[in-house]
Amino acid sequence: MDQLNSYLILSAILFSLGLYTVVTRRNAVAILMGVELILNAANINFVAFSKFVTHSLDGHLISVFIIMLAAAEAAVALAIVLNLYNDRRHINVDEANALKQ
Amino acid sequence: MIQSLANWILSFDILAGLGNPIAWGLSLFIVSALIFVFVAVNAIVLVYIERKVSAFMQVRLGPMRVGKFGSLQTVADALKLLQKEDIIPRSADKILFLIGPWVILVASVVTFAAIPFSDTLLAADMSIGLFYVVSISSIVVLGIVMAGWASNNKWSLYGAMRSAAQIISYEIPVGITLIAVVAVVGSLNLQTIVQAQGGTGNLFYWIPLPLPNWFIFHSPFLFLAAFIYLIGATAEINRTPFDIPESESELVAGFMTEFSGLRWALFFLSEYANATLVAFLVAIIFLGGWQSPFSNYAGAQIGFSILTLLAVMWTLFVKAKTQRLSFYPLGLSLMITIAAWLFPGFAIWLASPGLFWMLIKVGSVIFLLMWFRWTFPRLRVDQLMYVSWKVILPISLFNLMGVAVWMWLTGEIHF
Amino acid sequence: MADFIFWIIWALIVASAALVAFGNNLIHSVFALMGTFLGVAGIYIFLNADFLAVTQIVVYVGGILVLLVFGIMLTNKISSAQISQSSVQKWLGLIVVLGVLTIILTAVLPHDWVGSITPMAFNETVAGIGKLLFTEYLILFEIASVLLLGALIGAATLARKEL
Repeated sequence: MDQLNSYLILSAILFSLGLYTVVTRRNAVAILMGVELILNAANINFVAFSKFVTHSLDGHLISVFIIMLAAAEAAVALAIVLNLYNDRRHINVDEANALKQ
Repeated sequence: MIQSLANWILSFDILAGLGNPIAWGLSLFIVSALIFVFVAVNAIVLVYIERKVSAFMQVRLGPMRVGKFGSLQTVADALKLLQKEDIIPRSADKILFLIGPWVILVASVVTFAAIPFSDTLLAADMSIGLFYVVSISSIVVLGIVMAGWASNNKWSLYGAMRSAAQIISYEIPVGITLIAVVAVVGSLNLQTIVQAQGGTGNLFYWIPLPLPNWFIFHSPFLFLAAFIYLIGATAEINRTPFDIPESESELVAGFMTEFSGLRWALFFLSEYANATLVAFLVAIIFLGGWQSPFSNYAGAQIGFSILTLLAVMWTLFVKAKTQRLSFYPLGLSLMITIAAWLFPGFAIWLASPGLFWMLIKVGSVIFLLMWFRWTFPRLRVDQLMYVSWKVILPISLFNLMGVAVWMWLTGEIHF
Repeated sequence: MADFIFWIIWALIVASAALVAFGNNLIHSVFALMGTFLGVAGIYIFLNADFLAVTQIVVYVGGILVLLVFGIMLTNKISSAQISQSSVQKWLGLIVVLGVLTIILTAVLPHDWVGSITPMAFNETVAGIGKLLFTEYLILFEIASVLLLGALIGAATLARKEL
């Protein structure tokens, strides 16, 4: 609990699980969930380093901005997903390849 | 001064014999248990009061059979609910169905940790108290969606979706009105917010009417904000006139349709916990929390004398016209006034802050919520969204700016 | 005691994130994500970031997660309480991700971070964050507000029936 490494390992595992979700899922909403996992992993790192290494609030500030960006990103991404669904009747990203040559 | 309940419990000698971590864990457990017991007892009492109040509004008696004046009716009902079979529909999503009600209950109970009941009685003194309460109560939405989805029933799903849309829409104006108050105090700590409302001052800073320094009297903008908050909070806790998520005449019981027995009781518990929480927040933020309305004992004497005069006039003009004379309010205020003039100690107690005033204020707000229920008809879904996004939200934004300008005019802040 | 709670939260985060990544039921994944978000909020509290913890709950659990649930319910033909989902290239993905994890851990863990001996405990972060937000980070703050407005308008435009 008072060691930086326990936070770093947690964040690395969270990042890997998020990356796995993004890479393997077909459903667009599930991919979005993976992105949120990755952002959370990054946030843990920022806050942990601000407590253990830099001793300043800058890490907290960056995390606040990341959380805000995640909110904006989720809103826009879901709007895109809804459009995709209206167009194709499914939201599987591996089949949404009409722009491919 | 005791900073929190946990520290107070830790100060007992019995715990000193135990090891430090165990004593700490035990004190946390006792505090949590106390909060849970408060919520449970509160729900049982409020159900009884609600039935009596609705009976009063509809000129009937309400529960009368079990116990004196039916006072044990809700206890009997609770016992009945505990014995009922816990039915899980065959095609329901079992895991979510089982944990959904618990998510709602935990989210609504945990918020009470930050509520200051009096100047010494609070579970956790947090620097982010108000923000904590608002954020934790937003978890309820997810519990509702969970329960509604897991039921695998169209009425449940409709109710859950309506509820989620409603709570999210009303969270925004409610948050903005709270920001207006936070801007005045300069702190998110609920205890600091209450302390900032002590003493007496002018109404709206300039009108020479000596009223307590509560934020509802701080400026016209905060006066309006109190009502916006009350409307938004009523919508957030799904009470009438905003009860479309569980409107009996349309959706059976909304997201609660498939639940029975204990799980159904959990919904009720959390519903009344939420109503109490809103009442507490209104009392803390706009009505001065545990502060007494009187600044000294003379104030208490004069204040109750004025109250008695008002009661006399009310009895003479209003009650006499409706042919239903009742002397209870008049008698009560007269008794308190005489006692306050005869015994200075009683007047001093009336003028001192404490749990008593908090409970009086909370009770009044809860009564107001029950009054709403039998006064306003239910809104339609589109009207609900219209009220939130096109009426309340612009007003609350305007309010926030107004409060800033007001503080600049009265010299509370300088640019 | 605090250590014990910390490791419980740690395990909760990993378990629920694993459910998000490997689960077959989309709805279960979404609600498992709630466990992850709440757990991360708990981790923030262990890091003395009280404001961030509460922000995490209000934005992620109260906002984004509900948005995701709505997204799922609007983009599926609902016939039962189960919405199944599938994955592609599972083994390839697993190998790549495990490789990435190994690289991160081998790069990060042996490093001796300066100052990591004395962790600093903030008593209260709200005032500090507020001060920084309106002094050092003011431009970032303004850009962020413009970005949020842009996202609001963009999402509203995209989600309309007639584009």
